[in-house]
Amino acid sequence: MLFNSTLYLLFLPAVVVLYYQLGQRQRQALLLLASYAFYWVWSIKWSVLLGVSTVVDYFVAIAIERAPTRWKKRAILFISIAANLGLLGFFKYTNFLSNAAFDLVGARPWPILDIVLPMGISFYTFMTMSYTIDVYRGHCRARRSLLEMAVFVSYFPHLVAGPILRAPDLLPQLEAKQPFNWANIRIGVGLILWGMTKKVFVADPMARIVQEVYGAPEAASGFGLLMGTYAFAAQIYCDFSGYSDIAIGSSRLLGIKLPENFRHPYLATSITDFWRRWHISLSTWLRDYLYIPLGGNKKGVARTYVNLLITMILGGLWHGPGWHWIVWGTLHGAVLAIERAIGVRGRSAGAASRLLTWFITFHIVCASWVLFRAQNLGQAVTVFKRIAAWSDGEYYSGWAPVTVLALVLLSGRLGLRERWVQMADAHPVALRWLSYAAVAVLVITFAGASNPEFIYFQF
Amino acid sequence: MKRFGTPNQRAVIRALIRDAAIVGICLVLLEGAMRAWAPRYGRSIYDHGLTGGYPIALNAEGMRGAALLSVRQPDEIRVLALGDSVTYGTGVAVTDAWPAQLGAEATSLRGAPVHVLNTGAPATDLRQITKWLRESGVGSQADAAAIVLTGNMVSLSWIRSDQAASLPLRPRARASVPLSATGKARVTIKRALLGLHSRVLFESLMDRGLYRIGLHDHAVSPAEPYGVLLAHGWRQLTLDPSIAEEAWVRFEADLADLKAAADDQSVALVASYSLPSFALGGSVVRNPKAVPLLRLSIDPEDRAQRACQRVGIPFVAASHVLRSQPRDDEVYLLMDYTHLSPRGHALLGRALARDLLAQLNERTQ
Repeated sequence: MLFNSTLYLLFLPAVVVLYYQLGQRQRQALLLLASYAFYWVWSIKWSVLLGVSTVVDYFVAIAIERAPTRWKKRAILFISIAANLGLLGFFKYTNFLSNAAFDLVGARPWPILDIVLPMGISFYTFMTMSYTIDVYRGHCRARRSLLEMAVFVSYFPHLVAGPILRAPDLLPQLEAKQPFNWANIRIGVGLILWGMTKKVFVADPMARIVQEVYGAPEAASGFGLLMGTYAFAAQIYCDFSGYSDIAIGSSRLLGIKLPENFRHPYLATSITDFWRRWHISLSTWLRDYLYIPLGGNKKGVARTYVNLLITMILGGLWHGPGWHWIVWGTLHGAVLAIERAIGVRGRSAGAASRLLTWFITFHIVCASWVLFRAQNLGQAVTVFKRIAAWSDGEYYSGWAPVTVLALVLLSGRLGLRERWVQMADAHPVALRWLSYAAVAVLVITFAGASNPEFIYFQF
Repeated sequence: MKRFGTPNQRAVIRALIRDAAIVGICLVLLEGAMRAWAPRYGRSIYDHGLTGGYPIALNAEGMRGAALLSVRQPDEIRVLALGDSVTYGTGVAVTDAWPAQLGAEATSLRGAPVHVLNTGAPATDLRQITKWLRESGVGSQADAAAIVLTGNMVSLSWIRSDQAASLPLRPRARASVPLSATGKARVTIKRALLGLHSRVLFESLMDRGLYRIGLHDHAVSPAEPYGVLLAHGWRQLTLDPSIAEEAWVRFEADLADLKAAADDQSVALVASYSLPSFALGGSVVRNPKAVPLLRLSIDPEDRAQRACQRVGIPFVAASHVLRSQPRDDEVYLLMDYTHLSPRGHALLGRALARDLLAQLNERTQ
């Protein structure tokens, strides 16, 4: 089910109303049913995989907890991680690796498989992995209730595109009976409206510009490609953070708080700072379950840089198979390493210096968006070359992307999201009428105008 | 008796009922105001069996409006009105469409009857019109024909170029079947809903807003670049720029065939081009769907005029007549940049009438 569908506008209130009528155990059953129903709208068949992943890691976690020795725990954990990564790898990378092998040997000894990427697999695989790792590390206990575990993995607000939740954050909230609270309802509705507004009124209009420019980069002017890249910067931020806001808001209606996934990332003054603000649930996951186990910064300077590179390259590959993802990860990893080497960590002191570092950071991020949006590395190179040469060509959307980006930045600078949530909490009558109007408008726009998909569904 | 729910739930239900009542009262007031001051918002254009609130009556040949009598009256002039949905009169009564207006104006100018047969059918291309003229036109005993060209015809010349020419697709005239009580109720409710002015107001405002912010746009599919925009040389990165030129070349070839068919039938032919509203000027009123004028590279009226000159069809440029109107939003239908309002049809019909009569006079001399 899509957040920006009229079906969801009916589904969510129904779940919320029922939820607060039930006892604790029944609530969990309701959430499980609702979450699977949410998934079944996309595919019933692939929900089996979600179930299998849940059951496997449920037993693995218990086995880890019961294992008498450290090395036995480690062995079970290794099997679990291998199974999870194997699953993810099969669906995401089989054809990429096949093609790479074909290029290497110059032949096609086996066929390319027709593989569908199950929706949300990257997100729920990382969640189940983090759960077993947390049990192994003793950060949380293995749950004996399969129902609880199943709700944790499939919880519908985050199921398809995150945030990537940790067991210690979500499971205690699922275990406790959340009391009904009007403040939660007001804040939840406020966040949903904010997220939908970002998606429908910023991301979708920008998507049209991006689609045209990146649809034929060889015909677009250098200026057009730059504007198209700015448009994509606005699109991806408002699309993904809009989705996260709807997820957080939906969950808040049920009294369950999800962690923030974005913190005005385009105001970052370094790439290090950017990764503290962008897709926080993924960046912290990569830090806690990959970078630190690799040794983090505890094994010398050179190893730190290597660890940063490995972490970001794997972060790139998490998004998808392709050389452009590897280059995307390498670019981020390299800049993180350079910043570490030259001592750039956080905010610069002076205003001019901050402005300059912000400008540079933002354009490094935009350069990485070229790799993110391009179909392949060749297309990304074409875009870079044409922007660098300021090539002649066509472009018809003017300065619209810059205007929209300026509004996005201003909104971040002024903290409009936070102010809006405060206002929504403080003025329930205004929020109610605004919600009626928004629902009417959104129902009509969702009926055909809004792009039905969020960018992060593909991961 | 036990009261329903908790006090909290009862308060929520009370608030929802009160809010619904407020919304209902506001909608009723708005509807009343719209009916009084903006009657044109009561027209629904594309409903099956109705257009602009007018029932669609078809003659035995599936054409809209009255058929020509089989026996000619003395001193009568017969004119075939050729074209697509603009000629058919989508969104207006058949008596308001340009063929009827042409007939009335020509009769008045001439002082003797000029009967016009409206042969227009939606989504018709030039080759279909030519085929009809060759196969069935002779039966109408026409003296002249007037055609209103549109951008859609240009696109269809390109997109249907590899298909064999067919006759225009006309709906078959159907005998009216008496409806059951439920059927009658359903039709009554549907018509009442279609005629809700506030509904049309909301839809048009929403449509306008969606175009302004870019959620609706005018992107043309590279696989099927049809629609009026191709005739304007629509520039789009993902579209081959030569397609528009190719479409115009094919369109001109089709025009030449039409001229030859008219000559074979000894029918004097005049043509005009119905420009979409956005092509008349870039104002917000003229361009409610925010067509980006920057992307248009061809003036289709000028191009059509030159094509007509080359194949020997007299051309009546009508854009200046439409452009000169003080209330330009009344020349086209609400939120429709292609189809003319009754006022637009009247202007076009009158402009054509003078040239058509001049052509006929020339022929008789």
